[in-house]
Amino acid sequence: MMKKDDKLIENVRQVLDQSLDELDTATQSRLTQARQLAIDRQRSRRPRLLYWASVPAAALILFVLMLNWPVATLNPVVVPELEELSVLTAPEALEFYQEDIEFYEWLSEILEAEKKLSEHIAPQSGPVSAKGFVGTGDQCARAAESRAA
Amino acid sequence: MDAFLKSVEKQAYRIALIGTGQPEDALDLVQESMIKLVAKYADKPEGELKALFYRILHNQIKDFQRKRTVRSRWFSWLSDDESEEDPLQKIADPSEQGPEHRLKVDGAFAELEDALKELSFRQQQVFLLRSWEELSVTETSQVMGCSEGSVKTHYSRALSKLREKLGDHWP
Repeated sequence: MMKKDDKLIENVRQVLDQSLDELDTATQSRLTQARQLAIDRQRSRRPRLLYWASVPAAALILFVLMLNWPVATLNPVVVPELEELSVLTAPEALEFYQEDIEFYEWLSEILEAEKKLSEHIAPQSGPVSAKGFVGTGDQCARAAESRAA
Repeated sequence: MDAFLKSVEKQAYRIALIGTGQPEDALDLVQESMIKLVAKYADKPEGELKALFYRILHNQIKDFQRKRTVRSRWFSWLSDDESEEDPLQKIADPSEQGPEHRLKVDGAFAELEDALKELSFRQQQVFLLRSWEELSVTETSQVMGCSEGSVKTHYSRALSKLREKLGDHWP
């Protein structure tokens, strides 16, 4: 039975194969056209795929650009120190601090030192010199006050 | 892909023709199957293409037969109501493909074609895919969308019927 079946299947295969050779030219031509159409559609789909793929790609690039866009950065707010704040809010003109501040700093140091000295030692009256100004400490202080005024 | 389609196009047409009985419909189904295969599975390895292509073609033939059955029921209902001539009578008999066709195919093929048309659709498809296209039982079950056991049963019954119909002295 198995041999008979194998023989039958072999015969069926041969007859079917032979029938393909007998296909008319019109049918063969139609099959070629169908195949060509399928292949052509695949080719025409590729650019369309590229086109549609470019849309999310462009959106992604735009998103990345938006995240990394150089934002016009504001200069950091400089908080003035307390010392500078007192200078800014003082009634004196700024030129005063620019030009004479060193002198007055030196003067205040001298006055401080003199005051300490006078506390420990008996008061002495002697001349004090400060940048060409010669006089007692009190005289220096008065001169500084008048200059500041 | 082109080489693969070229290698299966004639067999596919023959299978579709046996399934539909109409040369024009068979050509349309083969064309549609080719387009679907290329559109969906162009990137698949070549070894898988055959089973995929015949699965698409099988579904196409099945859909065609389903539509034809619905259409014939609709027409028969109309003809019963209006007592008019059955429009199906006007459709050419699939087995009557004209003298040219009969001349082109030899007697052995005509006998085989008739015998195959007497099989059920599933038996017909399983037999052609297994014996002619040499698909494995697993591949045939994937194409047909049924179990391997079902493939074996259909194949065995188809073989038995063909042996009975064609006899020992065919071709």
